[in-house]
Amino acid sequence: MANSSHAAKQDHKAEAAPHKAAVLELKKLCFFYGTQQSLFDVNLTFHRGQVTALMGPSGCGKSTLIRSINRIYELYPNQRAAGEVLFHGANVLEPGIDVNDLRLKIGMVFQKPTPFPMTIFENVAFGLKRHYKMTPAEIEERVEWALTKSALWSEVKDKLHKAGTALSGGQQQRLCIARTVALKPEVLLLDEPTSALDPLSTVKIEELVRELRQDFTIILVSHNVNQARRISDETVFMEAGRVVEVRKTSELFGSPKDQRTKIFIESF
Amino acid sequence: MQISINISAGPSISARRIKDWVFSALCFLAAVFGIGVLALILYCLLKLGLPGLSLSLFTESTPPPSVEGGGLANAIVGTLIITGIAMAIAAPVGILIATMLVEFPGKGKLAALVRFFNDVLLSAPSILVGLFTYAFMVRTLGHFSGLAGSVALAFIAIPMVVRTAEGVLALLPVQVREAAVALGIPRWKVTVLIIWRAAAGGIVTAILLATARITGETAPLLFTALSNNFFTGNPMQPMANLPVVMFNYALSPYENWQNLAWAGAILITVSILGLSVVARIFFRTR
Ligand SMILES: Nc1ncnc2c1ncn2[C@@H]1O[C@H](COP(=O)(O)OP(=O)(O)OP(=O)(O)O)[C@@H](O)[C@H]1O
Ligand SMILES: [Mg+2]
Repeated sequence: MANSSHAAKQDHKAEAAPHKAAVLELKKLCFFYGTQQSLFDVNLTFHRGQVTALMGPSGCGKSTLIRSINRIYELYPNQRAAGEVLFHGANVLEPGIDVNDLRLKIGMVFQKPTPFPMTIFENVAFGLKRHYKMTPAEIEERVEWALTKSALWSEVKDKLHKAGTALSGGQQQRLCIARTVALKPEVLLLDEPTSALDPLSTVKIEELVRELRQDFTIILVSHNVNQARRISDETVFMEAGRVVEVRKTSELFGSPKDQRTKIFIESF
Repeated sequence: MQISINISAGPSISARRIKDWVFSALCFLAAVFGIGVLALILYCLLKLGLPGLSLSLFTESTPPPSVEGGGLANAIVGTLIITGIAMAIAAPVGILIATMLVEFPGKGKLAALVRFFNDVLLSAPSILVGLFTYAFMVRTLGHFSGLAGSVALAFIAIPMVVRTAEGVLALLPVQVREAAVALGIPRWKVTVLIIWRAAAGGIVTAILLATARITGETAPLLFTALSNNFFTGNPMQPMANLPVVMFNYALSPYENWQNLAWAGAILITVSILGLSVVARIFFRTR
């Protein structure tokens, strides 16, 4: 099932390549922590095969925005989203949606690496075993594929059965990316995946994001201007829960239209 | 150097030193007192209990009055069975309640209520628990039984398991929970396969500590399991157990019974000590 949908996806991409297809569309998205509103009428479109960077000062609502896309905020009873999040045209904020299926298609990697208390292999196989009926051989193959994609295979192939928590911070983060990538989601939400890492691990993960762009729609939160410039195709600049400017990355950094964007970029 | 001299200069320097010294001395004395009492208890226990220790303790059942020899086999087995059944009830119930409190608190009102009742139960005198179990179980069934003793002990163990396990579960980083949920895995599977697994060491500790605590409980068993001079493995009958046998024998006029009571005291102390040490090791290695 997974394989066929993956193949279909690639075919689809081939024909849609010239004008990139819109995968996700946010319409008038608002978000509330209790009574406090943190997003105000956000309208955005995310395209297949692109990395979109969300950039803006701390507390502007970047994490809140991507957390409403996979409805992870629902873990907390007082958090609420309103408006529309259209995934292939269907509003995922509707009550009838199967959230587990949604989260299978829209994967998320967090700021802090969060290996599960099990071996490296099991960490990656964990989601696979819950979602797909795969033979042990297929699982092994997929785990290797995901670890290779995440630029971790060569470092861990001899210790797949050691604890995931025994890896370095940067390796753990790549393990978390592998764990998500293994499910072959369509969209990858990355919330400051490098902010807890050293420069070398950061470079590895940035390369990885550029590499993964071919297969996924990627939304990357970063409050590091240089990182957004380095790896994104499109950049969204946000402030105080509102989108200020959305442009192709090269244009936005070359000639920011909005004064606030300009000041933010120049402060780096 | 200069700065520190400036700060500590002034008339209060010696006064503060003396206060420091007095305070340290008080802490030290308190520690010595605590350890001293413990040492005294252990000394009495060993002095009076060691002569009674022998292999027959484990092979023979409690003797009739003024008969020499005999052992505690029926009481040891009884205690193992009663405690085992009690923990077989208390561990799953306690873990499920703790899981509900941490993982599925909803809007928090029910959780607050459960937490409140748990705290009440935690501080309830054990004799009350025994009396309660007597009223609803022994009287209903019409006879004392080992099972009633297990139920009474379970009531004492449950709030302990809940309290400790809740603390352990709450310590797990929320990010692990979020990461698992973000993979599209249903909440209950996340709980069972990841949360419980991550907290396994702490949960085992919670169970061991609760077991240690109920091993020496006497009052609830007086009302429920009572005792039995004969060996039985049937929890539907009254059952001998170490605390009640100790209680009866220590107060008796027969020297042989008194020796057995002290030997039983050593057994209980050693097993509680053992459980606590194992619990500690478990908690450290995780
Ligand atoms: N759990 C919460 N409860 C209440 N308010 C929250 C919560 N999480 C975030 N907020 C508020 O929502 C706003 C947006 O927060 P968010 O975490 O999305 O910012 P961010 O852009 O990701 O910031 P950072 O760069 O620091 O990660 C902030 O004003 C914050 O105070
Ligand atoms: Mg954030």
